[in-house]
Amino acid sequence: MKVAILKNVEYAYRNLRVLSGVNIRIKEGEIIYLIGENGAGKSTLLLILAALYVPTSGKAIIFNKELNEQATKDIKLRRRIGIVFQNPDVQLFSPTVFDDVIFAPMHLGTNVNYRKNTENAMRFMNVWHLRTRHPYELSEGEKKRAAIATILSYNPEFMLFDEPTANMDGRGRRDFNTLLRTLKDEGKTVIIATHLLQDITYATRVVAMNIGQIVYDGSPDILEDKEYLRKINLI
Amino acid sequence: MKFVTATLKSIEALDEEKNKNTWLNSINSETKFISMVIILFLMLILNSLNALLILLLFLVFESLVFERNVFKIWLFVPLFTGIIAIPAIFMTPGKPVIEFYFLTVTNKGLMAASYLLIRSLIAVTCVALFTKTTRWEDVIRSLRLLHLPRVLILILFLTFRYIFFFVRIIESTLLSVKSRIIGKEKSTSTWRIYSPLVGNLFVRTYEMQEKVYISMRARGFMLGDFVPEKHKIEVHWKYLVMIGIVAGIAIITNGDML
Repeated sequence: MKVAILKNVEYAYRNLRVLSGVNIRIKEGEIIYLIGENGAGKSTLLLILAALYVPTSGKAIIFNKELNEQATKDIKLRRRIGIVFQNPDVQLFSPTVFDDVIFAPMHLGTNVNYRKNTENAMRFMNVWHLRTRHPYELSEGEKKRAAIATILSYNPEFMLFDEPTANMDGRGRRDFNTLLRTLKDEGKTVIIATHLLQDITYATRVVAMNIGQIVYDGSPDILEDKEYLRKINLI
Repeated sequence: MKFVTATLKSIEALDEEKNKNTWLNSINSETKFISMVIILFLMLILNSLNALLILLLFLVFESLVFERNVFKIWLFVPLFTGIIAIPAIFMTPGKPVIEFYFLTVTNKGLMAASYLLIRSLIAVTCVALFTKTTRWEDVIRSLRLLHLPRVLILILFLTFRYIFFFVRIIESTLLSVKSRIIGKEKSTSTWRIYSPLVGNLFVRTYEMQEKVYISMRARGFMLGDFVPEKHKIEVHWKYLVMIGIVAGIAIITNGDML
């Protein structure tokens, strides 16, 4: 099953072209790493795939639904997609960490056991002990883990992570890899945007971006090609 | 820089105060919220100065025992209430008490000003006691009790959350400026350095609000049927009985003046 199809997608923000001529097809169960230097357009592409931004031109189809303003407000679509933002301060806005993690299940009305699912997600990400804390009191690594728990609590099929391991310590990175293996075993479709090549594990496919365009889309073997990676400013 | 650091410290101190181990801090927010509503309601309906003074004395006693910092806020009450109360002393028609050239202080004017001042003190002390002895998330939870619109509560919380966040940004930005300056700057060059920072903060605030809204939408905000969290209301009966006794005394003192 196709999760997302982007055909010749362009996106401009305040007269600045961020993405141009982006073509990509994402199948169910894929673990895709989106790599590229800062400002390559990775975050914007994730926001389009998360059905939050509508392309300026081109066609984007997410879960067989053509992306337009109406589709961005579609609750059924929203339940199937989860995105973790690069800056956890954007993701964590509630009075307590628990309130933040339970926010989506409460608003999306995903299932009756939302309280139990919230607890499970928090325990999995090792933030259950922080449940009564203010999000702004946490360390950057703890914020990242809590931000990931905010989407695990409603268990979407398609998960997008923007620089999930940035600011994480060794344990946090190991925990994220464990999570990724679990998601892979569950058959989830995952896209991870990163510029930290050493953190890449379980990739079924690698997509490289440079100046708003996809310059490579294929096997993770490209990560061995140091010369090419140097050319697109990744090492 | 000093101002920003002081603001940050005062916000942090505010939260530390809430973690104090006093009896009032230990009472759950729901009880305190209900008590606050009772006192504010009585403040509005009671017409006797003595009855209002009983309420005020009770709050003063509570503040003296549990949270003396409340009195700092009293300094601002005459400033704002005075703007209305002082003209009322002279302008309300009644029996002259003191005459000073063309100005006449009337008995009714004095009464009106006293009512206004006492009511302001009751309101301010009551709300300050509640907010200073209750953790912020508990204050929010209590607001939900009143079934205030969810969006309103969220906006209130976000305001608090991001004030703190932006004060941190200002602090780190100013620290980075300080790291590149030697000695004391002239006031004109200080303005030249710091004024773009204000603009920069405004832009960052604007971008942040956009991103936070997208992040909220990504998790279903304003899209579906909100499932309210079931919350069991707990009441601290001892405290509520105490409030009831004070309210009873005030109502009896007020007599049939309602």
